[in-house]
Amino acid sequence: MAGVVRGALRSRRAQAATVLVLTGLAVAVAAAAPWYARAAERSVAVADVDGARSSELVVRVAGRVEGSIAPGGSVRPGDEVVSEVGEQAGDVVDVPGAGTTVSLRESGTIASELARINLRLVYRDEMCEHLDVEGKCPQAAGEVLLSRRTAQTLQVGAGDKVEFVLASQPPIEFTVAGTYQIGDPLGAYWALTDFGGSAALDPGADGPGDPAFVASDTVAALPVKEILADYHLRVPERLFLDDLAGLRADLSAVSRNSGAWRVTTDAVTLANRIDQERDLVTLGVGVAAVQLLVLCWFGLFFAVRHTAEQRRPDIGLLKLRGAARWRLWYLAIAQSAVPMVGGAVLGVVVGLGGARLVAGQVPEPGSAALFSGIAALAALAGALLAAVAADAGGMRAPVTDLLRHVPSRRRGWRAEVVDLIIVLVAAAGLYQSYATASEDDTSGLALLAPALIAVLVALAAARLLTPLAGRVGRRALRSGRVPAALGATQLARRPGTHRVFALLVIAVALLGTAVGGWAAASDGRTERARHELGADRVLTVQARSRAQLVAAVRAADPGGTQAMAVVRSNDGPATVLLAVDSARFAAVADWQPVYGDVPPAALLRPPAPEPLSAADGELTLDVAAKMMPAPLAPLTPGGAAGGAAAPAPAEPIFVLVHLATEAGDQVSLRFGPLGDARATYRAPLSGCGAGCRLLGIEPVTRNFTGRSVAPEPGATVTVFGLSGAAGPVAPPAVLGDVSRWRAGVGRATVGPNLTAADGALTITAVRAAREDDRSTRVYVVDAPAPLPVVSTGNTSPPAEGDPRLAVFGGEDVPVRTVGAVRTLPTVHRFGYLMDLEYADRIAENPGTVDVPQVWLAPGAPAGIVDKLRAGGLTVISDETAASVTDRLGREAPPSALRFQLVAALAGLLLTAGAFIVVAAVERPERAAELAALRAQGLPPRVVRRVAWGGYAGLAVAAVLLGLGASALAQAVTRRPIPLFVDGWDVLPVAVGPQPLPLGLALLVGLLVVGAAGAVAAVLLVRAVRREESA
Amino acid sequence: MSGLAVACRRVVHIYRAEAGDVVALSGVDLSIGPGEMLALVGPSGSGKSTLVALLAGLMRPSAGRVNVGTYDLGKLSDAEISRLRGTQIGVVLQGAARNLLPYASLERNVWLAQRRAARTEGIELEDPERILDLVGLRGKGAARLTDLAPGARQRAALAVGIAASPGLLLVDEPTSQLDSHGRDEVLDALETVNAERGTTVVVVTHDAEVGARLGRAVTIRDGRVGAEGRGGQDFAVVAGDGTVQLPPDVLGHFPPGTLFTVDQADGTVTLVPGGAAQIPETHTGDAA
Ligand SMILES: Nc1ncnc2c1ncn2[C@@H]1O[C@H](COP(=O)(O)OP(=O)(O)OP(=O)(O)O)[C@@H](O)[C@H]1O
Ligand SMILES: [Mg+2]
Repeated sequence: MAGVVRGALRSRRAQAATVLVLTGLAVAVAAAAPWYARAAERSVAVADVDGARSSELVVRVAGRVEGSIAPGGSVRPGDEVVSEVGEQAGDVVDVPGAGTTVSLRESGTIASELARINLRLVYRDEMCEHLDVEGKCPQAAGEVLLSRRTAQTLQVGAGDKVEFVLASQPPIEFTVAGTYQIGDPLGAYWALTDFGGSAALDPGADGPGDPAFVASDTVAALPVKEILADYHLRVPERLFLDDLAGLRADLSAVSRNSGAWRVTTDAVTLANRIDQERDLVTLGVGVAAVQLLVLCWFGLFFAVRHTAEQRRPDIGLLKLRGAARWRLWYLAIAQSAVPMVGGAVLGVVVGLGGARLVAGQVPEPGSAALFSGIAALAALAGALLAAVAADAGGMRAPVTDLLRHVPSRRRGWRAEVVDLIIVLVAAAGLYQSYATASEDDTSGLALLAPALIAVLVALAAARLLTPLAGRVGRRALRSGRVPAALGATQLARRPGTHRVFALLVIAVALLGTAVGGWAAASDGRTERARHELGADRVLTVQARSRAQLVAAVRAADPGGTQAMAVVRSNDGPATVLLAVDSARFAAVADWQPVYGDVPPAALLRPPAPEPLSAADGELTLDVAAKMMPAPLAPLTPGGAAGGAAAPAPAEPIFVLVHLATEAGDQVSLRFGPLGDARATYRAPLSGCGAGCRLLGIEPVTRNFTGRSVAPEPGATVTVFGLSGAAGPVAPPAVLGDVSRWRAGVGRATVGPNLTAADGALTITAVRAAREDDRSTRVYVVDAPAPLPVVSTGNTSPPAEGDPRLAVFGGEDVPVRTVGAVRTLPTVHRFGYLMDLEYADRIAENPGTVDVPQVWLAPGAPAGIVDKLRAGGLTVISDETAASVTDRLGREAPPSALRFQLVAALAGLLLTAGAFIVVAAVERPERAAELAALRAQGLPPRVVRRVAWGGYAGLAVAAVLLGLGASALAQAVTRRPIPLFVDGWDVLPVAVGPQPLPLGLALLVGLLVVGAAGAVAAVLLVRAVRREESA
Repeated sequence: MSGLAVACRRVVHIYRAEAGDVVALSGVDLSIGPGEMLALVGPSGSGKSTLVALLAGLMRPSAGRVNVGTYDLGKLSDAEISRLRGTQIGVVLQGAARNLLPYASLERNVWLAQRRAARTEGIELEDPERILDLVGLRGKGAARLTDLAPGARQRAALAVGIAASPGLLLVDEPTSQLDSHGRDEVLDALETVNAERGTTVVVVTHDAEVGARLGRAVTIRDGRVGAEGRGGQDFAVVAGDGTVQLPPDVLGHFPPGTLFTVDQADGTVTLVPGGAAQIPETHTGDAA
């Protein structure tokens, strides 16, 4: 019997090979799916962890421990406090393998002779390794490490003394050990801390200052009842990849009340995202694989049924000889089963190999391979079942039918019922996918919706095909168009044609949907990457100051078309503030048309008076001071400063002149003490080189500790002139113009009163409800106030008061909206765009949560980065739109969509194969008919046209209809796989069918199906010729 | 296995077809003795193949009875008929190629045809080689159908038909495509089988010579037994319902509806057409 089967297989080589290939394809996809899904699950998790914000890899446990003046407390060694924090917090959250750090902090004010800054005193484990220190890192009690800009503002350096003042405590003297800049502000070390660089976004942070670092002993010795303490755990990445469940259990303390300790982390968000991505991959790959499998089984069924046609006489013969049933089945099924098993073996090898090649290794290859094996076996079992079903008809048929070459009857009631059931199931599935689909729910049914639509369209079209072809044939016959008539009637009479046609339509539709989804996702990724980055390439840098950033970028790109200085900051979690070098914005930023029109530079940067500038050398201040009783109400400008004489001041008045170097460093000069009479005072200015910008003038006095404070209300200082060696710094025309001067713009700032007359500026201290709000500082107006901003259209003005924004994370400044656009680069919800220089000039304190960046245009030369470095910028991160696109490409949706695409292609190849089989099986008969017609004088040209029209025409019709079904599915169903796991929808994505992907699918469909049709046609023509010559 | 007797009584067969029912057999009475050789002749479409198919149990008669040996084929189940074909009734279909799997060797084909019988007790099977030898294909066991000449193909088909040593061998048109030499070879083989095994042989043929050589030739006409020839002489046959078909050449002279008077004298029956316009003519025939 085996010999007989072998003989049968050998003589029906082509059919066996086709069945082998079709099964191989199905099994390959089935075997590849679990492995691919596993590998993709892993790689999306890796990508998630790689792309995670550092706060998602860190757990913070915050609380308090006993301070030195707690009841019964004493000054303890710092080490003891640190280990106590470690023990207590470690009990609350314990993640195995996590690196931990302890920090201690206390808020207060640090003051030098010239200025004071609210900040926090911080000790942190390993801090010295994460700080770039000039001088030395504090080791001993009483040493303090200041940030470079704090030191700048206080005008102190290593070795200088500063005072630290805790509320209602006498000042404590510290020695400045050195200055620091944070080496890795975006690093995980600084995540979820209040003292890092740009990552330290904490709305609760009090005071504008950078933290000052000290040794643990220093904090332990502070006269406080409680020391604020933080315990940070750095979650090992491995846990996210291998043991998500264990990690969740470890983090169960999050959001639970754990006594004195509060746990915060975004690690749970990351874990959820990884879960979501994994689910999406599994679902996307699974659905694609199942779709393909079903398609494969149907394809195999039709292919096998057509080959079964050739087996009918064999079966008849065995039946004629009274052979046992099993022998009939053996002969019939073995002819399908042998190539199927062979194909399955090949398919497993190809599928697993391909999946490994494409998706890489998986964590547990054994279990993945097992799943792949099970899937492959299921695919093979389905194929065998299809073979059994295909041959079942022959087994039932009477011997006489089998022997007489009567083709099995197809259009019985059974076939109708099968069609009906398929239609009902498809319709029910479609309805279900609508009924259950909420907006962000990706259920399996929603994923199946496009396929179900394709099935409905394909079945309807296939049912219409036969009558339609019949009618066309009759009409063509009547009008004497022989080729058309022959082709159409052939089509109408071929029993298997409309089934294969339906399969082709479905396969093409699935390809169209897959290509559409894939193209939309890849477009969406590019758009999102461009949007999130804001420019073609973005460097995140560290700069001494914003002024230095602007200067360095302008120096590196004098042309102003390749690089732009940008400072990003946030005002609350949802609002992004973009301060840009506005003249370069249009040229450098990646402005997408959907945003609206590019805001013109003139809008953000209206003309403003030139800054006043002073060069190195001696500065001369011509000034008079007068003590007066405080006015009851603020004086109107120009109002006479009359009143009774005040008692003599306890302390003399000084005048501080504030300047800023080109690099943004602040320089303050003190003039005085002033006498009552007008006089000139001198002070040497250095460090300015060719010019410092004059920031403002501030009359001060000294309090009992020697610190500079605002003079008594009513104290008046009149400035008649400020000049340097080269000439006047503030000429009389400017001094006499009150519009060139303004008070501070801080929300709580009170005073001073300003009057200008006859080329002199008079500054009067005023009273305020809170002494701290009182200010006598006068600013030079060299930028518009309020600051002009362009906002996203969705922002709304504040409920009360002037619109203000916390520019650079410092104190908020008044703004004026001069334009609105749909959205701005990098902005997720709300955003404001402003001129960087103007914003920098108007912002009064440095702000700590700004991210200095350099945006580069696509054409920017590679050398520009070196120029920026030479300009004093340190590059701490470098991203390109391509690299962001690439990172997004490693998320779950692209992984699933890629598999869908491959599966759709495999499905198309498979149905094309089935098409060829069907054509091959009916070829002898058709060839005989056409040859007979040839013998009766039918020209060979007509034979060719009949063959091509019949097969290639069918192929083209199937491709067009399939694409139509796909377009319909894309138009009426939700996108089955979301473009992004996080549901990102800032930019509108194109919905519905897109011409380009459809065109691509058309091309591929025509190539594959058309090629199959062409092969069938050519072989038929050749067969007719052979028949004729025989 | 010795030959099986065959008896058909008033067998009617109607094909149900979309275009309308076709009465293929309309009352066939036929008896064949065990070990007899018989030719079924008759014009195309007269119902010969239908009759053979009924004898082979491939179809059930619409009415009437078909007995093969002791079996009433109409009363057997499909499985029993299938077993009968596997063991007792050999069928050789018209067109030699339809009888063999083209991709298996002759020997394999013969072997396959023996499978049913091999499982049945009490049947002595002959070696496939010996069977091929019987039909004159000695040493051709390894050959395929396509390797053979037309005459040899027909004999190969015959070998498959007799593989299970059936008691009744039904052969449809074995000689239609053969030259006289090939035809003789086939007939020789048939006679050998009949002689060596006593198998009852029924051959459907168009060829009068074949009929003559087999000794008994039953002519089927319009679905009935029209005549029978024995030893070179032609006879009319009285059917079970009492009808007698006149030979076609005689009938050609009388349009349907012609009236006869039937006279019988001295064992001779005379048919006298009625009506003055008709030319009186006398035909004689022996009543069987
Ligand atoms: N499957 C069928 N369906 C309908 N009618 C049939 C079928 N097979 C045969 N017939 C008809 O039954 C009648 C008898 O056919 P049958 O094949 O028995 O004749 P035959 O004597 O064998 O003819 P031939 O010498 O051409 O083989 C014919 O009129 C034929 O058209
Ligand atoms: Mg016949």
